[in-house]
Amino acid sequence: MNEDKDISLISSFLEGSLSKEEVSLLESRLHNEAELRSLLQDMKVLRNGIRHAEREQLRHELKELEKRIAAGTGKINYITGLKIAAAVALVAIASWLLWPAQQRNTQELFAENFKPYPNIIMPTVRGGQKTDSTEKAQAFAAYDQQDYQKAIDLFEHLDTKDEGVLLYLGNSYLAANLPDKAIPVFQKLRDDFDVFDEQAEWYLAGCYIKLGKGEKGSEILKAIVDGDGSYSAKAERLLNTLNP
Amino acid sequence: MPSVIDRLRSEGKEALAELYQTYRAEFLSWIMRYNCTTDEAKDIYQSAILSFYENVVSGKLTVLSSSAKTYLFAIGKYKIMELRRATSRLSELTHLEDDLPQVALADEDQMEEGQLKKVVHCLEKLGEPCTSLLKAFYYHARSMEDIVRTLNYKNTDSAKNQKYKCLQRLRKLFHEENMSLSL
Repeated sequence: MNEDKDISLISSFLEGSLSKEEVSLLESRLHNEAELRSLLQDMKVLRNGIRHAEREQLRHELKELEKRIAAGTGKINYITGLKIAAAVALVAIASWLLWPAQQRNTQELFAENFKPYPNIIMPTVRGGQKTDSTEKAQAFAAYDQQDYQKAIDLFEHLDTKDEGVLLYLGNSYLAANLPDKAIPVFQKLRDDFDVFDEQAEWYLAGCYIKLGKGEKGSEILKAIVDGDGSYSAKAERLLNTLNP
Repeated sequence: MPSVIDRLRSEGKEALAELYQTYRAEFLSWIMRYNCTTDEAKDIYQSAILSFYENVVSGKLTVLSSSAKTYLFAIGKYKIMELRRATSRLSELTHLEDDLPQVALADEDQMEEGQLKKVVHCLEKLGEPCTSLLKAFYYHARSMEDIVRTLNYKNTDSAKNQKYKCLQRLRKLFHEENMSLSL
């Protein structure tokens, strides 16, 4: 075994940059060479260890930054901060000004306000290399690819439907134009769990708007406004448009 | 103005610190609604910021379909969920403690954590320029061209050769560490 060359080979394998033929050759060598298997195992541990070391270093730096902010001595880059704040404000003002005064039809309102919730649980890896072939990962991959019917089939098939799954199953139904099926899912997400309550309420309102039941949707939106949570400003704007 | 994603990719730590400060106050006051302590809230925010950064540099997140704030808050919610799940699992374990092979479980956990700590220790021994090179490549997912420019290598071939030499030395140190602990 030539360690120099094999480190380079295993490194490329772990980065996913080998061709199919090279992978197949390597797999056959791994089957026969214990030393190469040991190198692969070591490289995985070393790679994870390097990442762990830098993550902990960054965490430490954020904790130090946090201490300085809490003590009132944080070195805030005000110019950049102001630039970011200005850009955020500009987008907010633009959205507000672009919001038309006249009542929109409900389907337009739905499309503008109830985009499928971003996949934060299992984002798809760029380049399409599959690292996780479980049914749950496949369901999230279908969701990312906007293949909502496939996502529904896969999510429904999962044994454990925790709050993370229910949020995306409900969103898949809604995106696949099946709001009546999404309603009980969002109700369960709201009633049986408490992490995504605000999202559940928001998308429930979306279901009723999609079904043309604006009155029921408005009722939920009013409760969201009263709850003063992260969706309340958005809910208030939508309410004003629905009931000018 | 470049997007948050572009800035995190090109400026790394500097952009990360700014991102931290931009949403900190709002995030902490919001997450405290979920009945967590101030320290837990800060830990969750720091983890959310790191997850966001790691998703960006690893290429898992290339386009934001909503704002960075919405994405960060969503990660925060997921972290709260994990925290609660861990707490409830712990209480379940406490109820069932007589029936569980607790020693075996603890040993396995320690082994994984122990291996990572050994690598951290070996990296300290390895020193520069290897540590910066390996971290830039494996954690910050910097391209070789980027590494050549920021760490002053002659070209991508010399940076790649240096990377393999560093890995070889790190592996040797790792084996020595394992040997010395088993004696």
